Amino acid sequence: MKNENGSYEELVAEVSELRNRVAELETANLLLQQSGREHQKDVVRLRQHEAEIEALLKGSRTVLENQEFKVAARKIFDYCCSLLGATAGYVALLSSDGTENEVLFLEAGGLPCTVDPSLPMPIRGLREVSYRTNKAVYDNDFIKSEWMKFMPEGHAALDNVMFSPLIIDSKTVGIMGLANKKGGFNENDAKMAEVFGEYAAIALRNSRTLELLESSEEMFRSVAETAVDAIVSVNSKGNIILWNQGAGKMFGYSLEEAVGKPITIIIPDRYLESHRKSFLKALSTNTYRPTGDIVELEGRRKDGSEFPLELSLALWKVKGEQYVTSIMRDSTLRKEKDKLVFEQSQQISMGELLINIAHHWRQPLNSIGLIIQNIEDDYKFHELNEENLNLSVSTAMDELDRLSETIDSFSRLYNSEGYAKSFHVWSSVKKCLDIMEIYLKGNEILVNTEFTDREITINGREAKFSQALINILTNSADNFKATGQKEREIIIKSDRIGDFGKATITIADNGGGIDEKIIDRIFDPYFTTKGKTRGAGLGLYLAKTIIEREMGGKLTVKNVNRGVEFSIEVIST
Amino acid sequence: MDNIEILKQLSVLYVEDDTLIRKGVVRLLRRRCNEIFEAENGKVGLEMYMNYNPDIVITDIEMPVMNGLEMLERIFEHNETQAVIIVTAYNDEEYKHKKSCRVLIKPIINKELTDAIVSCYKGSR
Repeated sequence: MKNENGSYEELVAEVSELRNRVAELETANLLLQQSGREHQKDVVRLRQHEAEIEALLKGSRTVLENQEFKVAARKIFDYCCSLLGATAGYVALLSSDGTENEVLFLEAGGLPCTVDPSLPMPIRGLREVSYRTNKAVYDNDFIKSEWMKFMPEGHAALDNVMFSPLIIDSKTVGIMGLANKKGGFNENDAKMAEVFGEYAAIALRNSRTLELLESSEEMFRSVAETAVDAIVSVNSKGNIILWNQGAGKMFGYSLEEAVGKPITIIIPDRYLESHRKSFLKALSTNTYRPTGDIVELEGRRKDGSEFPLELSLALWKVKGEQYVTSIMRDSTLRKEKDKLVFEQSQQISMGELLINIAHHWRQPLNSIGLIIQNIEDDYKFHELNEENLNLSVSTAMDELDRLSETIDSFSRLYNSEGYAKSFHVWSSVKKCLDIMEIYLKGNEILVNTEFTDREITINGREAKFSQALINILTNSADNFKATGQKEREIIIKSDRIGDFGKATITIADNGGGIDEKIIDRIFDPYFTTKGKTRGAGLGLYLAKTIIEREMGGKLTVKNVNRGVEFSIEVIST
Repeated sequence: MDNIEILKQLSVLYVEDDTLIRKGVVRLLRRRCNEIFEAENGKVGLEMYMNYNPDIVITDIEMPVMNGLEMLERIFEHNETQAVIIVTAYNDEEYKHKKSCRVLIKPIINKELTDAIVSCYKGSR
């Protein structure tokens, strides 16, 4: 045996070797078993992760779908329940006074629950903790918890509960309640519930924003649609993108006919060039000048007819794209009314003309009357000789000339005939001062002129310009008379402004100025600070009308140092 | 005593800024009254009044330096019953003075003026 089968020692060694192998294998087998278990755990964990990721994805999708909040909240709640294994719960929002839960929906999980759903759900108990801490909280032994005292009768049985907050701007505005999970909740559940709470909060915020957007859009739409004014927007290519009903009525194009068309369909040809320039300029400078100012021009209807309109423009930008919105009002009626007022005021100004002539005639008439009576006296007292008679006649004739001149100058002034042409400001001012010389001297008003440039010419009807100037001067003179001030002075200046081809003429007095409370109204027709005994106060209104309507200039007034300053701004030629 | 006789005894102050009218009226009155003083504004008029104490004051209202109403105020301070005739172009309340005896609206008529002088003189005595 020894020889055939080797030595005993060898056998023993072999056996021991085998034993070792077996032990090794056993160890290996043990390790293998162990790693299999580990692997199984990994698989479970992986599945859990998968489930979590899937639920989270579903939740995100729900948020992105931007549904009504109640629908979204229910979905998010369901995903959360099925992920965590909770079988009951609800979603509630904090009432506007912050004292109660307002339940959106409640899931009793098949358990009987007889609590009246209209009962208030005050913020107390475990949910109060969640509201206060902005954290998910749970209790796996709810029946034994201190919160049971708050449970209303007939409430579905609760083994365990969890609350997760809905947080907007770091404030809990609602809550998701979860309950009755087999085996109870754990920390991971709380973490997940917080995430779903966050989803619900985002969905809530989105739905609120959307509601706001919808209502403001609705509001804009109804404002735009019910407006009598035309509201029209164009894009940077000048194509119409918004066309309200008012625009439809005003221009005769329907919404379908207008949208997408160039805005030039409503612009008369003569404005096309200036429209093109100002539109391009507006886009390049990103401002429409004059923004907010009302421009008066004409619009063109679908049938080619034109009508006057008032227009205001605004330029706006959305995501780098520029748009221009214009609001237009048909000013046909207003123009007619203006014309009527102007005609009335012309009639009244005829009345003023008579008063003025009467004023200028009184002294000469009186003087002539005295001369005639003295001729009679000369005869009575036997002193009527050639010398006396000649003196009386020539004095009377001089006075008659004065009467006739007065009529001439006034009728020139009030004459509505004549054509607009270029004239010198300086000579026009001079003529006015000549006409008013007697009047101004009579009222002890010193008039000084400061013209930096006597060659300034402007365009218009000179007679009308003079009328405006005289009305302004008369206003100052009347003010002097009313206050009885001494040292009366009026300074008339004229100058060019910048290189815009404009000229100013300012008329300033030292009469103490105008009460700031009424300074805005002094150009109104029929506004007067004078008593009943004097004119109807149309002078300044007429002046403004002439300068602004007839001559396209501007007449403004402000208080200066010692009095009031009227400023006429017109295009110089 | 008829009006002509009464006029012949009276001294009159006439205040008016328009030279032609003033000269015309003065010429008219000089032939009928005892003494005529003329002034071209209220200030001069007041000085003359103080110096000559005339029976009748005839004045315009709108005048430079010192207007008629202001002058009259000062005259009435001095003599509350002074006979005053206002001659004005305007038939407005603001050209009247409650203590004046008569307000005549221009143009001035010879007879109207002399009648007014006499009646105011009689009333002031």
